[in-house]
Amino acid sequence: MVDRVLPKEQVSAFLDYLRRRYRLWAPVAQGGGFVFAEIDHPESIRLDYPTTMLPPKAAFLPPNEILLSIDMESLESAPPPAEDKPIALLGVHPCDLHGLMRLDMAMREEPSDASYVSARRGALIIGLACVHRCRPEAFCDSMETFRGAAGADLYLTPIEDGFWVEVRDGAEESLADAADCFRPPSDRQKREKDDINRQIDLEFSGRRLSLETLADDLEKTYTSSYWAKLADRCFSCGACTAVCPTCVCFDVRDDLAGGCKTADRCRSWDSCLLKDFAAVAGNENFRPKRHQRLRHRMMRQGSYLAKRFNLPAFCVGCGRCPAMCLGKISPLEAFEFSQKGRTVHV
Amino acid sequence: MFDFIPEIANVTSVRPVTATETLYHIRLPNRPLGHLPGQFVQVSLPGIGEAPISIASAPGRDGFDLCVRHVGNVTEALRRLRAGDCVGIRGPFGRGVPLDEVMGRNVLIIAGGLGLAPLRSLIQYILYFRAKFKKAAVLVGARSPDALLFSKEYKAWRQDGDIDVRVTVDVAKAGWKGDVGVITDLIPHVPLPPADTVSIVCGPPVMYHYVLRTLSRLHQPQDHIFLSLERRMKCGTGKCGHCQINGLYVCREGPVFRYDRIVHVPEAVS
Amino acid sequence: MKKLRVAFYSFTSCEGCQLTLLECEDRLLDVLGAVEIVRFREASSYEGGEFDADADIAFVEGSISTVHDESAARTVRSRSKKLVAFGACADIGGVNAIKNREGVETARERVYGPAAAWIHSSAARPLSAVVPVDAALHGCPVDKDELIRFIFAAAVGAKLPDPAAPVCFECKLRQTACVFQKGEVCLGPITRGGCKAICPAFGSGCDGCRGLAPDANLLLMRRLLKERGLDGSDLARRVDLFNAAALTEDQRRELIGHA
Ligand SMILES: Cc1cc2nc3c(=O)[nH]c(=O)nc-3n(C[C@H](O)[C@H](O)[C@H](O)COP(=O)(O)OP(=O)(O)OC[C@H]3O[C@@H](n4cnc5c(N)ncnc54)[C@H](O)[C@@H]3O)c2cc1C
Ligand code: SF4
Ligand code: SF4
Ligand code: SF4
Ligand code: SF4
Ligand code: SF4
Ligand code: FES
Repeated sequence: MVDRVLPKEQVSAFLDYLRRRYRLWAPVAQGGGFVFAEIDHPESIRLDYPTTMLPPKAAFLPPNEILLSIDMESLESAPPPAEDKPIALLGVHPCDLHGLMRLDMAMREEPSDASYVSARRGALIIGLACVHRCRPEAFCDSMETFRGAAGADLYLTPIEDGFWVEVRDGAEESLADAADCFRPPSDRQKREKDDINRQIDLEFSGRRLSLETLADDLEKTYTSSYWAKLADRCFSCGACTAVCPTCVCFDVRDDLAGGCKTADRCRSWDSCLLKDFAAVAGNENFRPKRHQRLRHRMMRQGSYLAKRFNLPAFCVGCGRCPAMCLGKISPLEAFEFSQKGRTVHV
Repeated sequence: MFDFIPEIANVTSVRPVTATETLYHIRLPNRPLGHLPGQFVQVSLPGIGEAPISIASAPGRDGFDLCVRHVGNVTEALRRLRAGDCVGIRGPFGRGVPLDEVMGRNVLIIAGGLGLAPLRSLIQYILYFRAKFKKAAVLVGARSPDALLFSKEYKAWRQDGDIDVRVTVDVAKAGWKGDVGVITDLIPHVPLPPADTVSIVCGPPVMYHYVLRTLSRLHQPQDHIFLSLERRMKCGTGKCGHCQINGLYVCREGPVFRYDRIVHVPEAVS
Repeated sequence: MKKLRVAFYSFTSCEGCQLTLLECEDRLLDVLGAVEIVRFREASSYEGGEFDADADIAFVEGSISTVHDESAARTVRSRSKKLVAFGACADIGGVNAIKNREGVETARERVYGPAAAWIHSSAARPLSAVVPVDAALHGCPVDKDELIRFIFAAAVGAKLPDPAAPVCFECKLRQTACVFQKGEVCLGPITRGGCKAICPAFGSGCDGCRGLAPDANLLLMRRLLKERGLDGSDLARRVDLFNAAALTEDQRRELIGHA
C-alpha cells in the first residue's frame, strides 16, 4: 500500500484521466436522492452523497442484460460485443466495497460467470471513506464493514487539502499516466488523516452483534414463530433484494422484443421474496409462505452465504433495505433477535 | 468459467412415451456428453427458454436420451420437435449417483412417476456393467397404467439384467394385472438386506417422506440412501439462487444427495 | 410456420388498449410480419359482422356490462383458440366496475337520466366472469413492451409469464424516490407489477390498475394506510378505482375493513 494525496486542484485532471481510460461511474443526484450513473459531465459528480438508491452492483450485474442473441433459424448464439473500455467506479463507500467483494465471490466462484467477469475485467474501484453514518438505518458498524480500504484499488479519505489516497499494491500501474495528479503526503496531512480515522472509529462504535456466532445463532431460530410474526410486516415485494449490494439472484428469460428473427436470452434481477421464486410444475412451491421466503432471505444474508464463503455475514449493513422497506423490516432486527440476551454492546 | 451459450445438438429420434411425455434421442455434433447417471442438461429453444432435464440414458458415445413431460413453455415447445430438428444443450450439470458407493452392493431403485426418467440412466448402466453390482431391484409407481414410463423395457430389465422389477399404480384400469397401491407397499417385499443395499429414490416431492419413513423402519442406514431432488433452476451453476435448499444448491451439490447429508436440512425433504 | 391469426375486439371500454398497439409505430411492421391481424376495429374499415373471425388468439378489450357484451364474448370464445383479457377492463373489470359499488340502478340514472329505462346495462365484470380466459395483459392501458413481447412470444408458441413482482420491485430498479414514504398513498406494494412503476416515476401513487399481486399482504396495506389517516370509505374509493370487481369479499374485508 502506498499513501498519496490528491490535492483539490488536481481532482478535475484526475477525473479527466479516468474518463479517458474508463467508463466512469460515480454518484449523482437524482429524484431527491442519489444514484450511481455513468458520467458524461464530471460537474454532476457528488462525492458528498450519503448513500445511493441502488448499490454500484448494477455496474457489473445490470438489472437487465442480454446474455446471448440467438438466431431463430440456425440456433447460433453469441454474447453482445464486449465494451471497449473497462469501468471505473468512483466514490464507493465502505459497505459497498464489502458488497462488491461479496458479489465477486458469488459470481467468480468456479465456474465463474462469463458476462460478469467480462464487465468486471480491468475495472478500477475507487473507495471513499464515510466519516458520518449515511442514514439512521445503516448498521455497517455492527457488520464491521465501515472501514473499507480492502476491495478498493484506491481508497479516498476527504481531508482539507483534497483527498488522502491509499493505493493498493499493484494498482499503481493502472495509475501511471495519472501520476502527476498525486503528491506525497505531508506530516500535517498524515496527522489530519489519523484524526479522521479516530473520528470514524468513534462514529461507528455502536456494534450490537457477535458476528463470530451469527450464522449459527440465526439458524437456531429456524423454527421460531418469530418469522411468521415478522412476515406480517412483509409485502413480499422484493424491494429489499433489489436495493441490496449482496443479493445476486437472477432470472433468465428469452425476449423477442425485437422481432422473431433473433431471440435475446436475457438475465434480470430476481428476488427470493417473490411468490413464484421456488415454484415448479405440478403446482409445487417449495417456499409458498411469505414467512418462509423472508426467513430464506435473512438466512442467506446472515448464514447460508456467509458459511459458503467463509465470512462473518453476507449482509454488509448498508441500511438500504430497512430504509426502503415499508414494513421497516431490518436484517439487524432479525440478527439481534437470534442473539437475544447475548447482544454485545461495544 | 461458463457462459450461457448452448451447443447446437441434433434430435435424432422422437418417441411418444405416454400422452404427456416424449422421449428424445439427442446427439452433440462434436463430443459425447460425458455424463454420470443422475446428472442433467439445460435444454433450450430460442425465443422460448431453457429447462433442466435429466439424462435418461446411460453414458455412451452414441448420444443420449431425454424424457420430457410437457408442462410449460419450453417443454410444450419441445413437443413440436421432429427428428432432424435442433435444440440447444448445456451441461451436463450437477452431481449424479456416486457409482463407487453403489458398485459392489445390492441396488434398490425407487421411482415415482417421472422419477423413472433420471433413474433409467442408472438402470441402463447396471445392465451394461451387471457384474459390478449385486442384486438389483426397481420399484416403479405411477398414477395409472397409462402413465407408466418405459413399460416396454421392463421385460428386458428383468431378463437381460436379472433385475427384480415391480410395478404399482394408484388407480388400475381394465386389464391391469399388477399391483395397486402406493410405492411404499412394495418396499418390504424386496428381499434385500438393508445394510448391504443402496437405495436410490426419485419421484414427486410428497413421495420422499413416505419412502424415507419406510426405509428407516427397515433400518436402512441413512448413508445408504440417495435422493434425487427437483427445484426450479435458471443457471445450473450455483449462481441464480432458484434451486437453493437452505444453504445447498441443488444444481451443484445435487441433484443427487446422500440422505445423511441432507437429513438435517429443513427444506430438503419434508 | 403458418402465421398466427390474431383478432382484437372491444367491449365496454375506452379502446385505449387497442390504441396502445397502434402507438407502437416503429415495431408495428415487425408485428405484422409475425402475425396476421384478422380483426382490428380501431384500425380498419371492415364493416361485416364484428365477431365472426376464426382466430388463433383473440385480444378482448373492455369489461362485460351488457347482454350484448356477454353473448359476443361467447361468440369470440367459440371462434378463438386462445382468449386474452386485454387491459384492466377485461382483466379485472377496471374503472367500469366503479358503478357496481353504488348500485347499477343509481349509476344508470346518473349517466342516462330519464332515458335510463331504455338502456340495458348490468354490473361491469371481467371477461373471465363470462368465459374461460387463457391469459391476461394487465394495466390501464396495457404496457406497450409487454404487449409486443406477448405477441412475439405467441408467434413462436410461447406464453409470456405473468409478472409476479409487485410494482415496488420495478420502482426500486428505476430508482424512483418512494412516493409512499413521501406521504402519498401508493398501492404499489399490493399491485402486480410489469408497468415499470410508471405512476410513481411521474410522482403519483399507484392506483392498482394491474390488479392484485400474488400473495398481496392486504392487512399490512390497510394498517399502513390507516396510519396515514385513510380508512373506510376513503380507502374503498381508492381501491375501487380499478379493483371494484376484482377483489373477493374476503379480500375486501382484509383491505378495507368491510365488504
Ligand atoms: C434437476 C432436474 C431434472 C429434471 N428432469 C426432468 C426430466 O427428466 N423430465 C422432465 O420432463 N422434467 C424434468 N425436470 C422438470 C423440468 O425442468 C420442468 O418441468 C421444466 O423446467 C418446465 O419448464 P417449462 O419452460 O416447460 O415450464 P414453465 O413455463 O417454466 O412452467 C413450468 C411450470 O411451473 C409453473 N410456473 C411457471 N412459472 C410460474 C410462476 N411464475 N408462478 C407459478 N408457477 C409457475 C407453471 O404453472 C408450469 O406448470 C427436471 C427438473 C430439474 C430441476
Ligand atoms: S422485507 Fe420489506 S422490502 Fe422486503 S419484501 Fe418484505 S416488505 Fe418488501
Ligand atoms: S441485507 Fe439490507 S442492509 Fe444488508 S447489505 Fe443487503 S440491503 Fe444492505
Ligand atoms: S452503511 Fe456505513 S459504510 Fe455504508 S454508506 Fe452508510 S455509513 Fe457508509
Ligand atoms: S412509490 Fe409505491 S411502488 Fe414505489 S416503492 Fe414506494 S410504495 Fe412501492
Ligand atoms: S403504477 Fe399502478 S396504477 Fe400505475 S400503471 Fe402501474 S399498476 Fe397501474
Ligand atoms: S440453478 Fe441457479 S443456482 Fe442452481
